[in-house]
Amino acid sequence: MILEADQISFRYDNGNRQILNKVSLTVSSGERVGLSAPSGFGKTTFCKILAGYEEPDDGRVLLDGKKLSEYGPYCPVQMIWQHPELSVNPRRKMKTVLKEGDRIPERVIRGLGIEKDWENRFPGELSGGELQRFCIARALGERTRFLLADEISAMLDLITQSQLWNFLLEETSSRGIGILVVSHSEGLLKRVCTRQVRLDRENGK
Amino acid sequence: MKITNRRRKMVLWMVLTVLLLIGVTVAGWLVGEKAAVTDFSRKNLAPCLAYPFGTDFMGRDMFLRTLAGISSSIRLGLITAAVSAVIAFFMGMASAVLGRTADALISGLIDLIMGIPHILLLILISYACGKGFWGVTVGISLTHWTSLARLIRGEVLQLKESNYIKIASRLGHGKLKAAAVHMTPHLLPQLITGLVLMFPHAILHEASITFLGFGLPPEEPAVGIILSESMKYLVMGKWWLALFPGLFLAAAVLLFHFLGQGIALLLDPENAHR
Repeated sequence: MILEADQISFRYDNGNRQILNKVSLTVSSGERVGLSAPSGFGKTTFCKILAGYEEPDDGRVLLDGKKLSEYGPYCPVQMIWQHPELSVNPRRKMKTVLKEGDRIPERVIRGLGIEKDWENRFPGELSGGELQRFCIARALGERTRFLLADEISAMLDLITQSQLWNFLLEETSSRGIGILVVSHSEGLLKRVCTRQVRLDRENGK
Repeated sequence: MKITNRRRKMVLWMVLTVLLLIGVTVAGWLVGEKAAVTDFSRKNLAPCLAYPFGTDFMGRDMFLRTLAGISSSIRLGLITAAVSAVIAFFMGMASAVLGRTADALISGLIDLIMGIPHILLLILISYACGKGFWGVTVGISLTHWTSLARLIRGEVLQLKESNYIKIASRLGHGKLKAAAVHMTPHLLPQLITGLVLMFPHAILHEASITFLGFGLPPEEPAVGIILSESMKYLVMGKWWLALFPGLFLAAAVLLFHFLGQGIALLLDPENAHR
């Protein structure tokens, strides 16, 4: 499958400057594309548009030539957010987070190092890194075809980072999932990605 | 050996409270007939062994009257508070979730009801429904949901912007499911607090419109009626007429307050393991 951003332009309603200006990007299945740019250049906004959280002012997001909205309620492009503590409901237990996803295979839950005992806790009783594993697992449901990883490991120590990324590389390549990796860390992008794109250079080309 | 933790102890206390309130309500309901018996040979007696709360100017047993009055107040307060909270929940939710037209309609309705003086609307509705217990109940229920509905609406609008609700929608959950599963746990504490606060409010309204003659019939033993009657006799030194019913009303309200706090604490994840 091919995820295609076609001439995307976007500006927030509050009259800010044009954040994205005719940005195009293509990611195919099994590909791991690194996306980097300085802060404030719209990396997260771009991810939100690709995953259908925001509608672009101009341009289209196509998945195999069809619009994203035609794919039914479950979006095949899933985004993992930068802040895990904001991405889970503080008043529901962690096992419900896993159930929110689309039949998450047991292999994913174990592979991410989620312990059985954590599932009966509330989000406030887990650390950011532990929460992030749940968020990653939730995004890896059966019908997920593309993953947008927005700074998902910035808050983790190096050992946990490598554990998570090793698992993600294995899981996505065996299922043919394409990833867009957003990060400030050159080292990580070099190690993980098959190709790299600078958003600030794509902008307005 | 420790068999109980704080959570279990609290649940135990709450169960006892509920049983007590149910007991008073049922007992008051059953003695309703006896509470209306007048006997002029025993009028204006101070509290004694036979009549622990004394008797009033018509020789009615104040203990039975207090019991019956508290019982009808609890029933009325509970029904009206529950109905108001449910209306507020659905109105607030619909206003925030269903889109702009629904929001404008419901907000307009809230403003309309809030714009009319409370007691006037209450009297009109109660009178239209034929006064009595049900007239008062319908009247209070229909006029008291507005401020809570506004609160719920604001809360839902805020929740709608939270990441986890947006994520749920991208994971294919519909609006209804998001509302039921994700928003309700956040709204319950507000609803319960609103319900508990509504309870004394409703009882006082019942008392006031009964006093004005548009509520319960005067022969019915209600705390509002008892209190307004006893006002006349208070200056004559008949302190027991107002003291015991007033104390019991305050106690019932306090018990409800304690219950509400308890439920809110039990539902809060911050306290899940205490």
